[in-house]
Amino acid sequence: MSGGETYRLHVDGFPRTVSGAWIGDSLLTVLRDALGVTAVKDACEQGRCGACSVLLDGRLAASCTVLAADADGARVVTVAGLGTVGLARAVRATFLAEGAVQCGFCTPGFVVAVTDLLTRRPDADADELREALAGNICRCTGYGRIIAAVQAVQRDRAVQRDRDAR
Amino acid sequence: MSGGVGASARRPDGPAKVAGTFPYAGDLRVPGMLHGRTLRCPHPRARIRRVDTATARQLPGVAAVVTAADVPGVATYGLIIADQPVFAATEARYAGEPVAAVAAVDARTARRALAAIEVDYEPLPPHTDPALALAPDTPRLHPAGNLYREIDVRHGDPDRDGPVVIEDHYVVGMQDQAFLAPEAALITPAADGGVDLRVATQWLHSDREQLAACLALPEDLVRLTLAGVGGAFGGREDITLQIHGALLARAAGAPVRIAYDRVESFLGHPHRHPARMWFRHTATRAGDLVSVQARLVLDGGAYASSSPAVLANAVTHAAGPYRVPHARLHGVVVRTNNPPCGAMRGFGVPQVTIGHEAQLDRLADAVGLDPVELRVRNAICPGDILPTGQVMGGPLPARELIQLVAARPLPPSPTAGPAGPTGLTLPGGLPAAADPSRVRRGVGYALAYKNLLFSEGMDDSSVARVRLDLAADGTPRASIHSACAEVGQGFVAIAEQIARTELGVDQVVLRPADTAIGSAGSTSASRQTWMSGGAVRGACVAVADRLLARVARTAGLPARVVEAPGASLRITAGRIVGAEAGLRLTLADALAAGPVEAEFTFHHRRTTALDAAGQGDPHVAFAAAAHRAVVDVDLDLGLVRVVSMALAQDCGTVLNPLALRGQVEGGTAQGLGLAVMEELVTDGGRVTNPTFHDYLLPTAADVPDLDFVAVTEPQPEAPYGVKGVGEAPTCTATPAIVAAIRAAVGRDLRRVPVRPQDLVDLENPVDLPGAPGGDPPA
Amino acid sequence: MLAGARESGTEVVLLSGGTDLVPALRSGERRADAVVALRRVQELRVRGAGADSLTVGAGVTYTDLVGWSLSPGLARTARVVGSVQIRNTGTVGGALGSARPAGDLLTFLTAADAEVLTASPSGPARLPLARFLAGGPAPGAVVTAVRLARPGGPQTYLKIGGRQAAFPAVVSCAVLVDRLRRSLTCAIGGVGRLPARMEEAESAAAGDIDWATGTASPAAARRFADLVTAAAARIAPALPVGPRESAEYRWHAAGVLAGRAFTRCLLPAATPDEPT
Repeated sequence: MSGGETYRLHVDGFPRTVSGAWIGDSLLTVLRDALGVTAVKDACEQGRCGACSVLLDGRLAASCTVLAADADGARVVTVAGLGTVGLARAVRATFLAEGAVQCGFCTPGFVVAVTDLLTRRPDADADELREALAGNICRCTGYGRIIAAVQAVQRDRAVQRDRDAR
Repeated sequence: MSGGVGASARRPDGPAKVAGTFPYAGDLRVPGMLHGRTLRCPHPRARIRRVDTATARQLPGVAAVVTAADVPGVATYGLIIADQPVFAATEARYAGEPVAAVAAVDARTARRALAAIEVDYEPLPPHTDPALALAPDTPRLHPAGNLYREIDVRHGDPDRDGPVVIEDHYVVGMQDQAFLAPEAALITPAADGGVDLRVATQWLHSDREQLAACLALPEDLVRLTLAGVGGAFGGREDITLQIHGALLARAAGAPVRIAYDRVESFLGHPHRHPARMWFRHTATRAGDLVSVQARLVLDGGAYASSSPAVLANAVTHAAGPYRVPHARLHGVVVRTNNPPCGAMRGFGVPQVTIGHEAQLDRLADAVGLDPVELRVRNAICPGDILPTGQVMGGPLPARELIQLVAARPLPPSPTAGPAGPTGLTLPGGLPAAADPSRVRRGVGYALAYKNLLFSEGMDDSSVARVRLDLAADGTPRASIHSACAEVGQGFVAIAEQIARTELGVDQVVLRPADTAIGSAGSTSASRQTWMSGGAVRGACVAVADRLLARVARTAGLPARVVEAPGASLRITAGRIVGAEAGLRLTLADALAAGPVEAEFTFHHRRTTALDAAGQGDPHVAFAAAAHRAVVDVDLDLGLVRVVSMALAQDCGTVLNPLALRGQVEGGTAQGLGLAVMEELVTDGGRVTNPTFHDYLLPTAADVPDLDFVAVTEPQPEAPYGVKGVGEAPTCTATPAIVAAIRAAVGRDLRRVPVRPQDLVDLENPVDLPGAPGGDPPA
Repeated sequence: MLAGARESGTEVVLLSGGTDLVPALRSGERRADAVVALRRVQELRVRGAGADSLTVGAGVTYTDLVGWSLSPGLARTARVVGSVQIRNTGTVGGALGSARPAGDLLTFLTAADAEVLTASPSGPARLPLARFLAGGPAPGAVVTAVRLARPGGPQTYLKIGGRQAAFPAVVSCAVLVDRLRRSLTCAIGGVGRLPARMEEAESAAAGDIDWATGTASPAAARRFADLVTAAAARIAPALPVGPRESAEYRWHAAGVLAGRAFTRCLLPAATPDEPT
């Protein structure tokens, strides 16, 4: 690969063509500046805050540490592509109900990270939740309402599972 | 009607924020916009011999390059004192000071253009030690001199001593607000010669005033609209990129997006003042405070920002929320070649709280009292006289708070067994693998008070306009217009709650905050719920009065009802009722005759400036908080885990319990950060860690659940009896954690943030672990 | 392509993982005219085991290594790297390319006497990690894998940093015990510019360990820790340190971590590490 080439990304279920971007651009830069996907936030651009979290082929990644051109052919899912049903919807709803949103700049990344975590580890205890979410920085909430929201999703889904089992 | 005052009403901006569609300032794009970037001086102090922009201007894709020579109006700006150049012209005074800015077709071209600007610097020796800023042989670093302000508060007989004396020095490092969304704005030149800014800021009208002066434009041609703000915490109170972007947009004749990345954000806005403090507390042998002396040196860095006001807070709060018969509280805030410092949550109070609470703990040891008992014994009460001579108004349940927090259940003892799979229950987490037998627990307390609203005689106000009309579907709707900057704190929910309660409507619309209405003042000083909440309430009451008067007139009610309709008529749950007047109609019917609108300006009570002896009535009101921290310390590595935090806080009337909880938890986390990890480190004036890799913020793994108790005595002169709640817990969280660490390791701590190396005796290292408990028996 | 690029003078960057490199490209710390991205080279994403050795492809991520039962030490090291996001993206090859002074994986591999496998037009090659770190890969060569001996006894990795989780190492320590070869190896990161081996402490330990039982005494753990602290203080050139962690503290911490790692591997009462 070299500069100026055209490549295709698969973002939130749609093929998107990128042309004219610099070969060294991160997935974050290309999503925001070339494709207008501003739901992915740029807060540290060093992989240390999680605001730009996406799922890359199903794995949680900081899009600022991924080379966009290298995501050619990979499935990129942002908060917008998580869907409006199921787990992601429950995560969004409890974030609102539990007061986990203040300035909200970390929220899209948190919603992606929490959805990923609860998909992999639905019954994680509080310590595991806190450790697993340590890649996402929130400066407003002190995390209390965020953890409360995650635990509310876990409770709701456990109730749902019990109901389904009966 | 639901979601009124007192309910945990949801934020109206919440759904967009969880969906990722909420437009933050950095998300704004318009066709044809240019990208602005700033050139910054790498030297902490340098003479600028020449700035050559010719090459940069000729680069393809570069639309504008601006320097100090291109500022048409006043060359300097500032929140209180306009001492900061828009661009350094002949001398740069801190590493990171803007020298030029460019606008280009894309960010990479803009970056290339910056590299093409030639600046001929003559580096000068920087003066970075605040203790030497006023020394006779230190040069004046600015025509205005090196002293921003000096305050000397004398109370009682400052020479009076008690028999027990505690005296020491304390140092507090530089904390950064580290709001998550870096600075950004979209700025458009207008056909009428003016300029339109969509910007993330804390104070639209202060920005406008400074912009207009520097751009040499009348204020009405400088129009600002608040763009989505991703956190602030004081760090957006000062101008950063606004003037640069406006100059570029006007020079290029095109919209300019100007935005910082994290490194530039760290360099671009003022930080929390580092402090060097000396305290001398004396007391009776029984533990009653006799006198407090304090000498404070705050490092204001290269430019004034809000330093004078920060110093007033630091000095006037230096004795803490305690009854002190005699005091001498002296402070200076000085100019150095360090980065400028200004507003951050707590505004001068966190620093002195670290000092006075460390002193109180040592005094408790000296007189043989429990730290809680000593605080209870000395806590200030309404009616007591503060060192400034101000009479403590009420309520201020300081004593109750410390007792409440001490009574909260303690967390279980540290587990003797191995840590769980995440290692989170041990200091250092999983990777440090602390040996549980080498972990010590400590418990610490802190009590503080923090002034609310602006101080020292400022006639501060906030304007709101409310309109009540019928929506397209015929239902009554209230529209609120206020320039209050929503930065995350939740004013948008509070404003809607107030309108629902006062006007009995379900549907409330908040117009964007902009400069088309009068100032709401700054989103700082714990002031917006009180000030702008008061303005919204006042406007709602005026709207209700006008509507009721119209209804009374239309219904042919007597003149006394028309003139004072509130006495006989009221709006409740979408109806207008007046039992005495025999009236009953829906709000919708009443509004069929047309909308009703009113504007209201809220003022708080007047305060006074400090006189030469530091005496006056400087603060509108206070709120208090008490934290208890429990920590575990790895004695061998000096690593700290904050195990639990309990908070009792003086909150006034609670308008939104969920929002309150979010504020106190967030405030606690920022205090935790200052206690054990957050420090912007400078070396010879240069910031050495301006990234999230090197400036560590607390994560979910660092901040424990908060055990929170709200004390809700209404504040008499405030709307609904509210108090500001965001700052007090930041002031107490840090010293409570430091006190707990001190209790765990058994040594006095004089520096914050506490570093691992401060907790480990490198001269006399403790025995390293063998098997738990030392050598096994032979 | 790499050979061609070398002749034309363009800056070709090899990208594996990207957690360090992509941010460095954005900030301009690193230049690139072309990038060879290795993420999708499946051959590099393989980890495998031979009779005596383990081979880990350069494209294997930390997440891939978490829970790898054949190397509990490597698994634990991978587990304590950064955050979920970084573990999912960062790779073995990237850790070698970044060569951070206290790099988690680098410290472990240094203690493990790992070899670096490369491929180039002139064929495959292997060289010791230390030589690779001193000189980089041969011109035109690409790192394909690292190879290390199968564990011959307990291993652990410990590090400290500024908070409870998701932090870069300030000081790191790996200890590997090999009961067959009767050796203990130890590397310390965060003191010098690269992780360093603690040879004197290693040979003292070899004499202190009861190889029949694979245990040692608390006194041996203390001696080991003291020797590591002393050796750390002699590492030259020392890493420049800021006021957050003094050099003296780093030396001290190196000894404490080494003593704990030794204890975990060799003292009967201690809990051995299990991958999580």
